[in-house]
Amino acid sequence: MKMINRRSFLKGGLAGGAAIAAVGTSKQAEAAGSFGGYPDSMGVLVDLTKCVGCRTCEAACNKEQGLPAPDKPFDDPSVFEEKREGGLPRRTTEKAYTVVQKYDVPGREHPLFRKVQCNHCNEPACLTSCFVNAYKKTPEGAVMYDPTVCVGCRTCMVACPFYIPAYSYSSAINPVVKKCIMCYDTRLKFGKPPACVEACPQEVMTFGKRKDLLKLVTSGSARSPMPTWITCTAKPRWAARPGCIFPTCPLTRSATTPIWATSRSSVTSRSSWRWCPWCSPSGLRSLPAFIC
Amino acid sequence: MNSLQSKGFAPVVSHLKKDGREWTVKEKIMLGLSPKEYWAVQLRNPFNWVLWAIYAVGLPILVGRFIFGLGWVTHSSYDYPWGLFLGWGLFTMVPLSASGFMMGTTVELFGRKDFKPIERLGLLNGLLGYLFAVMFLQVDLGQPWRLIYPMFVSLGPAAVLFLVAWHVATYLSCQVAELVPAFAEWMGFPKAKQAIKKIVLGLTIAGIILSTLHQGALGALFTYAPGKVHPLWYSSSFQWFQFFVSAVFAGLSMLIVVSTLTKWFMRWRCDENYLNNLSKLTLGLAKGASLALITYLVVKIIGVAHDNDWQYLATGWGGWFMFEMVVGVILPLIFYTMAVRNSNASLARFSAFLAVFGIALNRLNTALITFNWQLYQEIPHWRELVIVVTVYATYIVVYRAVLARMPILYTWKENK
Repeated sequence: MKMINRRSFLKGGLAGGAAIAAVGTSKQAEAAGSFGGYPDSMGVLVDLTKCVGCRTCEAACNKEQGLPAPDKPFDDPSVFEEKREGGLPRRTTEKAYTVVQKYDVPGREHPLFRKVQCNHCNEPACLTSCFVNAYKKTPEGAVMYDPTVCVGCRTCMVACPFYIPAYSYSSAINPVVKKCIMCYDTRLKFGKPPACVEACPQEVMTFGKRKDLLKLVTSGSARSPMPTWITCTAKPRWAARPGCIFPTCPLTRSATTPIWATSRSSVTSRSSWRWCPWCSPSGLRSLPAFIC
Repeated sequence: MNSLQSKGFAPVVSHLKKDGREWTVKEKIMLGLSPKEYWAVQLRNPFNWVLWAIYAVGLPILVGRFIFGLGWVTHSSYDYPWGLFLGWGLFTMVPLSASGFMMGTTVELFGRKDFKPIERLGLLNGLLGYLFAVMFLQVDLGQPWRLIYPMFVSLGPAAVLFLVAWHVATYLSCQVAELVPAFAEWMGFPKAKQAIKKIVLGLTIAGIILSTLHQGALGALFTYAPGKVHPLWYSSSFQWFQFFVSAVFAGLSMLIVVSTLTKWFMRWRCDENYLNNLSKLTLGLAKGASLALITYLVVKIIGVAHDNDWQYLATGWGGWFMFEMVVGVILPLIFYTMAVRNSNASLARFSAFLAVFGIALNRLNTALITFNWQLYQEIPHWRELVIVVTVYATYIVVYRAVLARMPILYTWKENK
């Protein structure tokens, strides 16, 4: 092998690199685009201002999915006072695919109730992170999980920014991930709404084509207290981009980076990024001003 | 064994005994001692008493993990799906095992034959570290019998873990192949050794490509959870690079640590070639490690600057970060440099222990301690800790067993 001296190697490398940089760039070069969802996928619009915390949705889910009976009955409001570690409110578990949380908001007459479940994101973090392709975004809209290939690495639980997937640790032989499946097998496949949507006595949830639901929001017909991208861009002190800069914004389901900046100038400055209070894993620690 | 040596015991270094007859495999396994002598030595060794105590407690719990499930040995946390099995067994042990590709590169690719005495130790450190990282993974996985799924049953190539899984599998094979010459010498399989010699350059290059990617990928895993890891430990742009560069000095430092331990506790097994060159080689490794350390320090600072995380330094977490940086990066950097300048191998050894501690701290911080920093701290279940100690003890037992027998710390005399 002919020996090359270090100086020539570096010169050659620099020249080669410069040549490629000058010639080899493409006008088409761009980062991977985002997935806006299947055109006819269904969705659920949630108006939490109507929620009274009756937990009928939890009971309906429990029945539909064949989950075991809970420790406390569904009409027991003391579950709202239960705090898990760190003083955090209740979360989804292997036996509860959806839970309702209660928040006492200063200045608000009634408590605020929030239903938490899998958001069936357009670009789910769980799906991207799964090295056995166990997750699938179905054309109907639900994000499904295949327990027959799951190895149990639990990366999806790390990746989900909403802390949704639970794991059946108690099983020694077949522990699997447990989460809301939008009642795909029993309802969604046949075009029917999920059990929680149908059961809710206050009609908090509206089931329909996702693109139609978005129209409801942008036209102002639906009153959603969630920081919609319309509301966010109307507030100049939020970020220049739609303020809900989420990987998995439950409403817009657009995939970008996870957070929201508190001021326009600080979009690039991570120190100003905060968890969107609605989906903050620590619950509603602080509320944006426009929730009433 | 060291005391036996002072009484005139000579370890097995070739196929033939003093009287010209060949050692049998059983005799080689018994280190050339009679079974009675061998077990007497084992029973006398206080370190073995510690190991037996560990196994007495740990083995039932390890078995219990597979009978009763993960729920019995962990807190079954949904918020903290990863615990010590991955935090220590995978994230800490893998960078510390980077000595494999470091030594392969140094000797075979850069032609630094002066590192040959320590090359095999580096390769063995790499192989055993990765092997036991896989053991820890098997303990951690919900369904460990499905380990091969990402390779043969259902592939998810978009995932970072997919790359890690494939790489660890192929790299493990690479490392086994690189250690076949040592095994072949010991067992007397010359053809196997020749076969590997032909492909050693290819194996080394494959090792570098595989290692750099998966060491970085382990860091990239945390980009799945940008809000969950504390900003001082998290950098979306540089996480992978920080993990890769720190793996370089982690492997070199671990090699210094292990070689120091062999010098202290397995002197009977080391030959003159190894012992006489050890201090010089330690300083050589220290030099390489110090270069990686300064690179790492700069990239860490750039990471903080890029995300404008300076104000976090003034918080409690910031203090912890400074502790990790000072004890795990800055002090080793200073001590390594001083050691190289003053040809002080002892200082380099002390620095290596600090650097290894720093790596362990960094990985545990990223994966466990600062993970979910805005929620609550999770202290692992005591059974998790017991299992980690048990599996790590097994790693040490296997390490010691191989070092005592195969020509790693000594040169095999081919006198056939």
